[in-house]
Amino acid sequence: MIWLPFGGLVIGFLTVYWMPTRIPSAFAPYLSVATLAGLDSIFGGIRAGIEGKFHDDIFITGFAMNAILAAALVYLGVQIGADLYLAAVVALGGRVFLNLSLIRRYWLTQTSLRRRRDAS
Amino acid sequence: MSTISPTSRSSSWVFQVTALCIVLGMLLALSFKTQRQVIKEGMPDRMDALRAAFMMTKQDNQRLQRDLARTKARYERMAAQQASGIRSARGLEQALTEAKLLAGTVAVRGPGVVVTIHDSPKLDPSETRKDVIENYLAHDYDIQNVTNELFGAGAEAISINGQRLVANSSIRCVGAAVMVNSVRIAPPFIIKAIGDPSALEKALTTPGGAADGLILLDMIEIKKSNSITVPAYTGSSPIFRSQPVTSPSGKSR
Repeated sequence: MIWLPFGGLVIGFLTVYWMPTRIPSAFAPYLSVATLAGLDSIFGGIRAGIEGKFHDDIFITGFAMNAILAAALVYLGVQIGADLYLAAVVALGGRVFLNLSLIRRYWLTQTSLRRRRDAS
Repeated sequence: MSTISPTSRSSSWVFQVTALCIVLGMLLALSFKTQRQVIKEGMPDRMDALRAAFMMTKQDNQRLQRDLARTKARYERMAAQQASGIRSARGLEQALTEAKLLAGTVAVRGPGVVVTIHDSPKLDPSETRKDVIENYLAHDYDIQNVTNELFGAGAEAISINGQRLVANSSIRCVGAAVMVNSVRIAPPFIIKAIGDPSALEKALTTPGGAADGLILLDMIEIKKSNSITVPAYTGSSPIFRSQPVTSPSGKSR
């Protein structure tokens, strides 16, 4: 069950990788922050799912808003000549790490609980 | 309400995360491809620039090596002269001749090109617009461009209608005529240049070069020749204010 997201990742990756689609290289920074926004949403979603606080509306709008905001920051940065996309990278990257650490913590407490239950 | 185990609860969120994972995978793949494209696009520019820089360095190197060989030969010669005790007159005379050649105070002969610039025969006689007629006439800047190009291509001596170009020559427009070295000359302008004939010709006939517009309007003829005589500079040399500066190396000599 938990492997399903990874399977989806691989499927999505391979689909586009084998397709001949190309986009202008000027969009590369937009694409990278959009990717980061997606990464943030997925880890946030997994964490919320484990905590039992998952709401699909928050999940989807979170991804959309983060992606749009990050892209807007990149655009603004290009216009005024400042590397504003770094702000998006730092904020989203920090959240990815935070969510990852929380997921790891939940997973560890869960396994230790089960082990104790099995022992008793 | 169980809050810890993901499998005990309704796991619809796993499907939603999976759906977004598919999207993320697509984004990742697209990012990968785009980034690779960016790198590939960046490469050829650098290659071209490097190639050009390499060629230039190579040419510089060859030229410097030739210079070195020449200087070495000269040094050997001078050393030999000094050794045999004939140091005085001949070396000095040679230096003087070189200086004269450079200054343009002696007539010189050698291979080169004869360039004739005249007004364009393509001008429609019924044309009355002054600014259009201007374009068909030979101007001072045409001569400037051509002589500049010739010097750039390695011309050693240039004269225009018998006026030798020297270090402080000027080519100016004075009404209907052109003034070179403060002497009025009129078209056709015959420019004699001594140098490598084919190199000089190529410098002028290069597309987009200095003489491109002149060729288009039939205003220029270029003739290569094995023997051209360029006269000496005959004007006065108005050097009043310049004093030679004694360099440290000059002092020790």
